[in-house]
Amino acid sequence: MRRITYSCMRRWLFLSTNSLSLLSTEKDSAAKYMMLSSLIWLIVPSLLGLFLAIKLVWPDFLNQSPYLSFGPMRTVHTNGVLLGWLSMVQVGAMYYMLPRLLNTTLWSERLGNVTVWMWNIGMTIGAGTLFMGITSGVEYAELIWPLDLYIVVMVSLVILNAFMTVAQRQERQFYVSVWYFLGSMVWLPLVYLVGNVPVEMIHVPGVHQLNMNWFLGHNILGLWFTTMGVAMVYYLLPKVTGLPIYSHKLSLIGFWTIAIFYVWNGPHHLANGPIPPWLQKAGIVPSLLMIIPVWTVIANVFGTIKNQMNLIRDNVIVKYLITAGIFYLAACLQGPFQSFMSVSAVLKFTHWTVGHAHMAPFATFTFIGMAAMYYIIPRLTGQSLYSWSLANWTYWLGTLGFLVMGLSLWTAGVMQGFAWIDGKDFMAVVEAIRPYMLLRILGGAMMMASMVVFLWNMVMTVRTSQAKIPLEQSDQKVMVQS
Amino acid sequence: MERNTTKLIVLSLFFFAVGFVATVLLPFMDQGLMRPTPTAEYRKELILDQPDSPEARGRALYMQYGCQYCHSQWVRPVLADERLGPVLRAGDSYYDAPHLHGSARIGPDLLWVGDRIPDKGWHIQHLIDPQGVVEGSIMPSYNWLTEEELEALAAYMVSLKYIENPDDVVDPQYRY
Repeated sequence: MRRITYSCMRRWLFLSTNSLSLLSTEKDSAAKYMMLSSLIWLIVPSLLGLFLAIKLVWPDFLNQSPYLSFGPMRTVHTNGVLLGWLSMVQVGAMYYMLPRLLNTTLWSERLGNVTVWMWNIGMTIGAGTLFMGITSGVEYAELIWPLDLYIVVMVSLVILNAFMTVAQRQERQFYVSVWYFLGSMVWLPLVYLVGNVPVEMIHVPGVHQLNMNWFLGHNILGLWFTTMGVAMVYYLLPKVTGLPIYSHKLSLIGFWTIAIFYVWNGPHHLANGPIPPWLQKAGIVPSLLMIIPVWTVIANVFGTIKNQMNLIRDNVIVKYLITAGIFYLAACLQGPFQSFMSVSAVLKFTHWTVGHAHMAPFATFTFIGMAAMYYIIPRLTGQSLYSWSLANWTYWLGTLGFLVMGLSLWTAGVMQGFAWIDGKDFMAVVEAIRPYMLLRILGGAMMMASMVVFLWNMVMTVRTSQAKIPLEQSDQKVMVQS
Repeated sequence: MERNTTKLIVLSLFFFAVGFVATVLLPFMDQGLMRPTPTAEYRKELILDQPDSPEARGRALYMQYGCQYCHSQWVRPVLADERLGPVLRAGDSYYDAPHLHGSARIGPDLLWVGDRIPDKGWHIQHLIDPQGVVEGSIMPSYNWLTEEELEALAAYMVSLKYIENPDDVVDPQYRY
């Protein structure tokens, strides 16, 4: 009876089933197109990031027109990789994983494909407006309010699809990934709305805007990218290794501690800022408690493979997931450390923060996104991956590139922080960190190379006409040979 | 709960709400955060009340070209900021929409740049040829701005100045 109701609703929402040929109803097509089109938003905005690094050494590089100047380019870089690539690959992975975890199909492939189109069109318009300098001016929330509304509608459709898939499930028990996916669905719209209140229409005192700005800046990472990413790890690791997750209880402790503590973290971005001490402390103390959910993930990941550590060597996907876990731990140790008022007094406003801000989005969640695509895309196209050796190149270029970039930024940041305290001339400090800015370009170029190899590998996987090795299509616990 | 969607959603919302109320809504009750300073009033008269003034136009350009990504407008009660002028107070950006406090100092802080460099001509020259004015600068040139736009940006720069406030604490509480 329930199944009939759901299919009626689906038909009611999409009356003309055959007239929308652009919107496939083929199984898993939404996941496939979402993930593949996310590659555009990996490559282009990341390339802009590399340009920005070059601009910080040679300021007149690509500076002949207002559209290519630093500010607009930076907004396209950040919005592109976060709202484009990362969000899309994670939603694509959810479209693939959620039905399998619940033993059903995605409620509506067509609706899924609507969101694929909406996402790409929205991102294109968004990038265009940002390049033209049409911006709300709020860091990480630069899109103007009509586009924010568009995103809210789009995300609502994703949420509708996810919850209807849950509603029509055959498997009653929720695996932990389902918890994380559903939590993300609940939190994303709320976080996004708080951070995107149109202050040009509704007056909010500046200091509260600052607070809400960083409520978004922090929680979009914690209650969207993190929870989606962790859900993906908990799905991929057992699938790829054939080993059960070390502890189900631990993963649930992780989920609820994220739910309880993460949302408090916003004010630690305002350490030593114009907010009362109680609010600063309300942000800093929960930051320290974040070690609990981080530890549960790390313990689970390592616990799962502890007797088969050779998998890290033998299997590129496992190597990606483990590395992502290590960088996740590092980012989440760095975060609370920086949130201390005394440490923040040194490191805030320096390049240290830039290094920190790249660690989780790139070395954790981009890696998880890539691992997910290595696993899912061959399964959706029926082709084995074009080249595991190229996948290995992607891994090493990305990991080493990030380490070069991160370490140069962190070193530069520490130098800046202490030099400012010593009262050194601002320009002398700019001069002193120039070598590190050059190293950062090198690291960025390696990261970019890693992404280009990844793109090539994916494109060739989709385009290759005959499968070299027949791929196990079922989702039994198969080992991926690397 | 491992089977119940409603419970999962309700609890997730509840914990979110607790943190949201504590860190976002509760601060609105803090009167100290809700009082505009004379600096804020000065900027309101110049910018909010006169959307066609050069200062307002300059602020829009500042936002449009993302100056805030390299220049903070945020002086803290810490040693590193001692030479940057008075500490930023909650009420200083009371009327700002949006706030332009920024989060990085790739270039110098501009909260009180109008006090430091009150000469509009300097700012215009610096925007056209940063390296000519400050040796070794990594600021890009804005020579493609029109004369009117350069004037407006310079007017905005000069308007970023501290207005005396009798309520100010002379020695801020925290120093690191």
